[in-house]
This record gives sequence, C-alpha cells and structure tokens, in this order.
Amino acid sequence: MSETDDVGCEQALKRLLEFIDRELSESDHDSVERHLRTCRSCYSRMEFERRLKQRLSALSADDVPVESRDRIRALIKGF
Amino acid sequence: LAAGHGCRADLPPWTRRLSKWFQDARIVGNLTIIPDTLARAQDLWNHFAGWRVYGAGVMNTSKDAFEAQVLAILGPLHGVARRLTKNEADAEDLVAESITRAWRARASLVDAGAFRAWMFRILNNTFISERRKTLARPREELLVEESAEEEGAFSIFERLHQPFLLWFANPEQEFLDKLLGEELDRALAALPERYRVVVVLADIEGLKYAEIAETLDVPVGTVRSRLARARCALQRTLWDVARDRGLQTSRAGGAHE
Repeated sequence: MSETDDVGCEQALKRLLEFIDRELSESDHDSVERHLRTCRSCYSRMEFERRLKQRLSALSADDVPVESRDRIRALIKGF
Repeated sequence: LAAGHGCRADLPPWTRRLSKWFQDARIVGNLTIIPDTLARAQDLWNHFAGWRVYGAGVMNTSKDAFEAQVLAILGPLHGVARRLTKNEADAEDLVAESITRAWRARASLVDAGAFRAWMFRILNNTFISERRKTLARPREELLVEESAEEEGAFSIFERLHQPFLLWFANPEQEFLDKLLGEELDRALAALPERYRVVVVLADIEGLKYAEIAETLDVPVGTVRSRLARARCALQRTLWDVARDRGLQTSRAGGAHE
C-alpha cells in the first residue's frame, strides 16, 4: 500500500488488529488511521476491539506472592 | 551507566536514566512501573549498575544480573505459567523449572534485550516437554499445526453493533462493561492451547509479534494468522459465556442474526 492510497473499509478492517497492536508499518498505520477518522463504523469497531484488548491486559497480574519470589531467589542462589 | 546510588524518598535522577535506558534496550514495554515501584527500580539499578554496554547490546552473565532479569519479569512469567497449567502449584513448579533450564542455557542468550522472549520461549518449551513426560502421548493439538480455517470469522461487534442507534446507545460497549473478569478468564481457559498462548502473550502480557514468534519458534506470519484466529475463537467463546448469563439478550442481542 503506498502512502497516497486511501484504504476502504475492507482493507481497514483487515488490518485493524495489527493497527491496535501497533504492528503495521508507519505508512500503513497512517492510512488506516486516516480511514478511521472518516468512517464511523470502522472507528466504532476499532474502539470495541481496543477496549476488549484493554480488558484482557487488565488480567495481567504483575504481583507475585512473596513466597514465590523468595523461592525463586533461593533457587538462583543455589545455582 | 554510572555506579548505583542509595535509595531516597523522592525519585532520584537515576530512575529517569534507568527508565530511558530500559526504553532504549526495549526490556520493559510499559515504563509506568518504574516510577511507581521505586523499590523495584532501586533493586534493578543495583543489579544493572555493574553492566557494561558493548555496542548495541548489553550483557552481564553474572548470577546477580540473571536474578535481576528474572525477578523483573517474574509476574508475567507466573501469569503465563498459570494460564498454561491452569493450576497455581503447577505454575510455580513450571516457573522454577524454566528458570533452572534458563540458567543452564544462559550462554544461548546472545542479545540481552531479547531476555523476555528468550525466557518465555524456555517457559513454553519446558511446559510442552514436562507435559510429554506426564502424558503417555502428546495431546493431538500439539502435533496438528493450523488445521485450515476451522470456523468462519466471528465478531461480537458485528453481532451487536447497531449503526442507527448512534449516540443513544452503544450495545457493544455495554457488553464489555457487563463482562466480568472471571468470564474473560473462563473464556480464555476454554480456548485450545495454541490459541490461548498467543492471546496471553499478545493481549495480556503485551508482547510484540516478533517476540511471540521467538517465544513459540514460529515465523511472524504464523503469529499474525494464529492470533487472528485465536481472537475470533475467543470472541465466539465470550459470546457463548455471555449467552449463558443472559447478557446477549440485552436490547440489541442478536440484532444481526
């Protein structure tokens, strides 16, 4: 896709998840973004997918029980 | 990198440098943890302060450095292990075994910036090989690579979205708002393993496609296609979970059916 190409709904939706994951090349990212600015339906879809991804990332538990942390520390000491 | 400092109550300048350095080294995806957890940052700083920068890569093969790197991603490691084993005790054992294997294989890590993907890869391989030990034969899903398009695409959005409601209501948003964390957990647990793994790595732990490819030892193109299918499958499962709880019958349920 060249930079000047305007993408339609089909192309935009095909790349939507990669757009949200920020895995598109800069020019592809920009062209999808341009489409989203003008297409309410695709924008709503993007919002939905993005929020679902946010809900999933909220499941990430960064806290590890102290005992587990200590166990790993002790394990490494023994190496 | 300068030498380490003592911990002060306010945020010392080295935390900013550490944060910047992490960004450059692409070790931590989400930098907000740095200022929020000063103690952890201090811990990391003390360990990383001994590191030397060689060209683009940063390497320190000491045990202290290894420990610091492991502890920095222990949360995500546990999280992924928990989703793989679906059991807290097994998850702990899996993490411990993986770390042991990682230490033995530390010479195979050539790029310190790739520690996270390298460690996840060992975790994933350990999980697979440990399970092979306990099962007489590997579960079929491990052997079968992508069986063409098993099911058609599925999108909750397409089921719920009502373009003519516009500002008055947002059924798909409502769906997400009502969805409980435990329902997401349940839907994830119900996914076939190869799908669950990519969703966990991409959406929960926030790995880039290249890191997932490294973790699973598959091409990036496979990550893309598998992730797309996995998300479809997750939405289908969520849709079923929601139906069981009666969420789907809200105002817009089945509008497009």
